[in-house]
Amino acid sequence: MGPTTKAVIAIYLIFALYSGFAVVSVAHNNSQVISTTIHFSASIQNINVTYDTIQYPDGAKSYKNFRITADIIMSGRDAPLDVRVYDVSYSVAIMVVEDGKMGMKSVGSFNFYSMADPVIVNSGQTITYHTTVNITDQHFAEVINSSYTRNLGYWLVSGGLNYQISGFENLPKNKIMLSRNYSDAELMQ
Amino acid sequence: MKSRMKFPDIYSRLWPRKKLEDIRNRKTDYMIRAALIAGTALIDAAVFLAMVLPDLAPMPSVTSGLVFMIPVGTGLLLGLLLTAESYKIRAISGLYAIILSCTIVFLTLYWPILSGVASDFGFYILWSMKWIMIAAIIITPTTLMGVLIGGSTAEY
Repeated sequence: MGPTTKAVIAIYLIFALYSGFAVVSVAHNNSQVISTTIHFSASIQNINVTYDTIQYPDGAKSYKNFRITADIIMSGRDAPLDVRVYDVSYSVAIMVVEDGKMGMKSVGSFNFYSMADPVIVNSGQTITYHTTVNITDQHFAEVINSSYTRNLGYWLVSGGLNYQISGFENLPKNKIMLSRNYSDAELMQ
Repeated sequence: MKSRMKFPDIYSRLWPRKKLEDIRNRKTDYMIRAALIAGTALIDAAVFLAMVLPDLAPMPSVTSGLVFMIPVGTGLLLGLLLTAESYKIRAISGLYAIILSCTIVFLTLYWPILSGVASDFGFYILWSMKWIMIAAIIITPTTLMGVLIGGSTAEY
């Protein structure tokens, strides 16, 4: 074996070592990212809806000036990497009970919170992000008829939260769906 | 007077110096061949993984063209560098490199599942299975073609 061959083999094996490092690094990073994706969680808690009721002389009612507050709980429990949350969005629909039958009327169009600075949820940390939606431009009157008995409840549906894993900003943003079912107590308030 | 007893030199008769040197040289050849096979497998696997998971690999971006070209190149070098070996040994070395490369891709992509991180992550199992099959489809013909071209060039 000549010296040129030996030199080529040596360079080839150096490249191979670098490739070996790359392979190990991909396996490690992949595990960390997947583990973070599995363990990072978010939910909506402490929902509160307030509104103004307008009573008409014929007995009909209408509702307006909705103010919806909610806490988004973001938890990085057991997640090995930090998470950067960019925006939170959710839509609100009002449950209407008419003569014992339930129907759903959407109050808000899609409400969107774009955070000026991303909220960083560190590994093992739980963060509460308070959100408020004011819906003043919609007058919730068209379903109101004095001949029915009805109540207003609320239901938060189809929310979402976009986040990225720190250290891997080139990865596509992940999304967590936020949803909460109504409870009877909330519905009949 | 007692004559000194002379033991016959069985050792040197059984293992003559030349034979020992031959064994040593063959060992070195085996080691070099194993290192070249492992190197080829690692480079092919790393380039493929850098294409599949570009953000997780500490490598410059790999285009889909490079994924086809690099296994041909590494196979070519493997075929050229095993000059002392027969044509058959070169082809078998290429096959070993392909099997090792696909095994490395399998272990790397399945590492989150094997380490228990994503054991019940059904979507990921399907996704990684797909890429392991694509790796086998890409790496096998390209590396083998490179080894055969390199081998024939060396013979020539």
